[in-house]
Amino acid sequence: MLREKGFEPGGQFIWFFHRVSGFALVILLILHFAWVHFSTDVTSDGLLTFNDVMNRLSSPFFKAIDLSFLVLALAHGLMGVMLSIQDYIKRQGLRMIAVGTVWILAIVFGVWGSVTILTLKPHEPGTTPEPVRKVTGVPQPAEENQALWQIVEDGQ
Amino acid sequence: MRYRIRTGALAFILHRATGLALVLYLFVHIFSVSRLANPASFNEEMALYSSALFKFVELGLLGVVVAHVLNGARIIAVDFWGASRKQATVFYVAVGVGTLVVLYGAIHLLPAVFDGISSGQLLSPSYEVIHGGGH
Ligand code: HEM
Ligand code: HEM
Repeated sequence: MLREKGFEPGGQFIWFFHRVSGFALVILLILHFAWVHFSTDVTSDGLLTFNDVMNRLSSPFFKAIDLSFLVLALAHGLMGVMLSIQDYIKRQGLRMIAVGTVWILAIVFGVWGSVTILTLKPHEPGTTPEPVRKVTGVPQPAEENQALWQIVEDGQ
Repeated sequence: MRYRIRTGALAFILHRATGLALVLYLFVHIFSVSRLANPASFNEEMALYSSALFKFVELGLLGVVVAHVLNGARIIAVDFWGASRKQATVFYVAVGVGTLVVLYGAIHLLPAVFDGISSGQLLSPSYEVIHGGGH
């Protein structure tokens, strides 16, 4: 019944969509890892911080990429959930509840994720976010901590 | 007649299980990314993810992602680029690439995990957010 009304995408459509979105997701996921891991873990202070994210996401181009990643990943994954529902849940009533839940999850998490990206704002002018410092391994001598404070102040 | 493990069925279940696990991860991920609204709390959260336990979980996540992505890429190659006559080759390439990627991740993640186990500090961040440092 939900199928006739178009709330339950058919197997054929999902089959095609999984392949097209899967192809796009490979590229987006590689970029995601390059941006959240390699641009920070390997080259900068080692911890992904608000500033690292802001440096990239202050540009509308990167926001657009992030939004398409969000929408494609959610659509791809939740259509997979739809397929699983069609395979395992045969009772009409249960199926309706399950399909409805998937739609609600899609909308809630789609809106939530988009709001996060679209409402990002840099730190208040005149302040910088808290810096971070590595605490395991070799203990940091006091002078070095001093130096870190200095850098923060110079950066302002 | 002999019984054989049906590798096709196994691959299907693996792909479905990893895909559904990634959906759950994505929900949690959208929640944790939403903390970007408060920079200090975002940095605290990222510092927590630098602890041994989370690095271990991250390695598991990498395994799940790599398994799903490479099997997915294999399916696409077989369906769209007529790679079906070279199925075996495609399969071994996927397994080889996947192993290398997970090994690379393990080299980066496991030292912190072992540190945490030997010091008993599974949840202490290896980074500290310096409060009040930025004014
Ligand atoms: C990044 C690269 C990815 C690729 C190349 C990929 C590829 C694929 C392909 C080709 C299918 C269809 C399998 C079939 O028809 O038998 C599929 C199914 C699926 N994918 Fe992905 N995928 C990727 C990422 C993701 C992500 C990020 C998620 C989760 C959010 C996800 C969740 C699922 C689910 C739940 C299914 C349904 C499994 C089933 O019906 O058995 N995938 N994927
Ligand atoms: C441990 C590995 C990961 C880390 C540290 C990480 C980190 C982040 C960060 C910091 C963001 C904020 C936006 C940005 O920087 O571009 C983000 C967004 C996002 N990530 Fe990841 N990520 C990881 C793995 C993944 C995986 C495996 C997936 C796919 C299932 C994924 C999917 C997404 C999506 C869809 C967004 C946009 C979310 C939104 O709009 O709310 N991430 N990630």
